[in-house]
Amino acid sequence: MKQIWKLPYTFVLMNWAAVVSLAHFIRRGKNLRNEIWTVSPMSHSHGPSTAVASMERQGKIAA
Amino acid sequence: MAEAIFWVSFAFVFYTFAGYPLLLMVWRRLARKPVKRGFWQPSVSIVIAAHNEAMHIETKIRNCLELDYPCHKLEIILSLDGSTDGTEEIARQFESAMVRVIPSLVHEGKAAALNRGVAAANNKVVVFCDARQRIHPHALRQLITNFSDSTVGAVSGELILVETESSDDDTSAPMGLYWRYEKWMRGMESDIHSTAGATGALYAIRRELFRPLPEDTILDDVLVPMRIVMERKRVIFDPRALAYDKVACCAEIEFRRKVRTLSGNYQLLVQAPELLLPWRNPIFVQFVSHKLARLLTPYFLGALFVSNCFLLRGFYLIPFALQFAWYALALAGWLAPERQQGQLASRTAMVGKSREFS
Repeated sequence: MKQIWKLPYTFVLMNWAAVVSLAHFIRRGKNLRNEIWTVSPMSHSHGPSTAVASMERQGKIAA
Repeated sequence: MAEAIFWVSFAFVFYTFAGYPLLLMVWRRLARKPVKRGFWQPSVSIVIAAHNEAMHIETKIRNCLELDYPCHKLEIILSLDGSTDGTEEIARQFESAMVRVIPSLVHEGKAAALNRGVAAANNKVVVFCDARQRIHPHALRQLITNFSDSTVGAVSGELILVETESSDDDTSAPMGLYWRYEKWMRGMESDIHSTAGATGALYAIRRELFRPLPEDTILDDVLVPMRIVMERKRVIFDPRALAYDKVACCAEIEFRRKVRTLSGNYQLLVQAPELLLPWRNPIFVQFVSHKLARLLTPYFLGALFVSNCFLLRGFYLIPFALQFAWYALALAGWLAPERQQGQLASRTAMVGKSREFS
């Protein structure tokens, strides 16, 4: 491994994902269907996540 | 008080990452249940749910047609979910007695597409796979041999993550390590009774065990197998049945995947609360240790570090130094210019994707 920080960084990021997922589940409980087609190695691919759509609406990224 | 929190948190984190795998190793040694594999060649329906997969659908259909399985016993069902990018037109070119297209004008979600696909399936065994991942030509035959054992209700294949030119070596290394660890645990769980979930890229079930999924289901590849376990059938992991996918180009994309998966785990608890009843769930220990513990780990990691901050003396200096170094490295990773570039790449990919679907 060229960069020693990658393992702890990835570990912390994946644990942070568990925290975010709870908030995500509570906040978007009824709209989770929109997330189904997002990229996943365990599941299906392709589809705009609602996060992307939300960023577009807020003008943070180009539509 | 701080000491109690420290040790409870330590015990939880240790059990999740090391204690549970050790328990599985011992359990497997004592109570391994080998699958009675044998030659059985039933008619099989492959169900592929797809939404806007114009880029992948042709390759996927060709991949399925090249599987090492008798053609007259194979049916490929393309359950399309309101695609607007020409997926249906491409799929229609392959339509035949063997390849069926089930279109839907409305975008209802993957679970609804799977429900339609299974309802249209005529055969005893249904194989689920995604449009993107490639399946090894022998994978289907390997999966099916497990159904010779009447106790087996579902079989999961193994997903191999392949590095590509766009993969970041330093991201794929930790993710590859995690993925190997995950598969090792699934293998042990499978040997004991069942795995708590399947690989969405490739899994097969007995059709009679399928129950229509709620339309907002995120993790069909966990809900379907867990329902089968609740029916007292086994869900097996067969590492000989291979599917291939690409490693994420950067940790941020992996992060988004993880948020989605873990949100699905929370949803699972709402959809099937009986999974939390030890007298109803035959793999209660595995489910709690593998699926639920992961959801709680960050809180215990936080408690471990905070409680350690109040115990800066004697022996406790060692775990504090180790934790401090670990999180300092993680912080360095977050601030690293390479990560910023990765994040930019991830954001660009997100924009690219949103344009594809606009």
